[in-house]
Formats: sequence, structure tokens, C-alpha cells
Amino acid sequence: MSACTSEFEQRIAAYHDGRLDDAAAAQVETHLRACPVCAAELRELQTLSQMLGSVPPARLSQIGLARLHRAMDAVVDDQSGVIKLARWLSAAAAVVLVGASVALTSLSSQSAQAQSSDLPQAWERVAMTGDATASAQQSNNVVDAEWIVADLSRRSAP
Amino acid sequence: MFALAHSLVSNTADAEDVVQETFAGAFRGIERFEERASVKTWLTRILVNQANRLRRDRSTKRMLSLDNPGGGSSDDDAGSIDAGPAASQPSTTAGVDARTDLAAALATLSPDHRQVIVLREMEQLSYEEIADVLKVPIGTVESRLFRARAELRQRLKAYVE
Repeated sequence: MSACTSEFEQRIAAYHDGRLDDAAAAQVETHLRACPVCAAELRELQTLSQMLGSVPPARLSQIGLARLHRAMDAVVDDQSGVIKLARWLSAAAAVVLVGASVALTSLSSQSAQAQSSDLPQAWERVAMTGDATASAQQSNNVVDAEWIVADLSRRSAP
Repeated sequence: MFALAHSLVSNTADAEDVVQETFAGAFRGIERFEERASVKTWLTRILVNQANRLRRDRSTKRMLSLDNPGGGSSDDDAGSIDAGPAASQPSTTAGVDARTDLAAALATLSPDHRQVIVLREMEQLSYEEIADVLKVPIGTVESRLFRARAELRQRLKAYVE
């Protein structure tokens, strides 16, 4: 490996990833024109990226998707169970603490409702938080993520 | 997300588990979502953590099974992928075998190196996004990516030269 290769390898990688400013990129390009070793280095990086980028993404099977939905249902049910328990405990406390029952029940009920209504709103907010800088290659994942998040929101709605 | 999980754990059943745990974790931890982050970065971070957790669990199981060779499970986190010696020579049927060799080469990378390669080259995340997902400085992303690529180029010489 030549001296210029070790000196330029990191810069070539940065150039390959578009991380150099115009001036630095121009310097690298000048060097590349004069140095076949570094030019080959860049070609190898490009070929590797092309290979990795051309791998077809693994797809979730219909069975896998169904399993995912079932698992998410269970998660949402668990969460709902906690909220129901909170409501039940609030009601029981209201019976015991007769003097404070009205205020307590009201507060607890408000709290439980706030919990249950916050949840889907939070999810919807997340679902609506798009990444404005997302590239075309990223957009599929964002859409997938937002779809699932939105789906969870509907499931958790009272 | 499933494709990302599959790239990190290399086997369908584990990838499904990772995706399930990712969305379950996201659902439970919604309050911790910082709105300045993108949904993608947030979910990706959870997913990478879940993949790491699964790998650690498998590693512990394997150690337990080594302690008890007669009674251990046959679980193996290399899973369905053949992580055998990656291609110094290309296989005969080009396209499919190149992918098989690539998958095998990826499977031989350390988890840290594999993560940066997958996030950069397959998920097209920027260095900044990768740093955010992995909670490491950008310099660490650069050096891991550099070393990971060098390893892959070495293992896939026949394809990239």
C-alpha cells in the first residue's frame, strides 16, 4: 500500500460519502487524476456501496405480519389493562374515602381519561412527525414506521 | 424496519422478534420520544438496541450451553445464514451467489461494524443520523465505517477489485 493511499484513504472515503466541502473535494479529485492507486480505492468503495445498496430488502411474510399484529394487540391490551386497573382502584378508593369520594373520583377519572386520551394523541403526533430531510431511499421505512404507529393509535383508542 | 432487523440479525425469526420488541418498546416508551428527533431515527435506535439485546441473550445462552454440553439448546444466533468463509473467489452463478457471499461477509463483521455498514449503505442514513441512532460521536461512526468497509473489501476482493 503506497504512502498516498494511507494518507488519502480516509479522505477518499469522506469524498465517496459526499462529506467534503467543494475545495477539499476538488483537491481529492486532482489527486485521483494523478494517482491510480487512490482512483482504484475509490472504485472499490463505489463497487462495494453498489453491491450493498442493491441487496433486495427482506420482506415480512403475511404470517409474520399477522404475528406482529397479534403481538401489538397484546401490548395495547396490557396498556389498556393498566388504565382499567387505575380506574377500578380510583372507584374503590372513592367508596372507602366517603368524605373525599366526589373529588377523588373526579380527579382519578380525569387522570385515567387523560392517560387514555394522551396515548393515541402522542402516537398520532409521532406519526405526523415526518423527517423533512428524509431521502427517497429512506421514505419507505418512514412510511412503514408511521403506518404501524398510526395503526397502534387506532387500536389503543377507547 | 423488518429489512433493517434482518440485516442486523440475519435470520427471519429473530428479525420478527426484534421488530415486535421495537414497536412494543416504542409504544411503551412513547413519552421518551423527543420531537426534535425523526420517527425513523427514534425507531431505528430502539431496533438496534433490541438487536443488541437479542445478540447478548443468545450469547449468554450459548455460554450456558457450553457449560452444560449435554443439556443445552441448539440455538444459534448465526441463525439461518451461512457465515462461513466469505468469498475470496466469486461463486459461479453470479447474482444470487454474490448476494449470498455478501450476506456471509456481513455476518462475519463485528456487531459495531455491521451496524454502521447496514445503517449507512443499506438504510442510507447520514453520518449524523447514524451517530444519533448509535449514540456515538461522528468520529466513531467514521472510523467504524472505514474499518468495516476495509474488512468487507478484503472479504469480497473478487467482487470489488
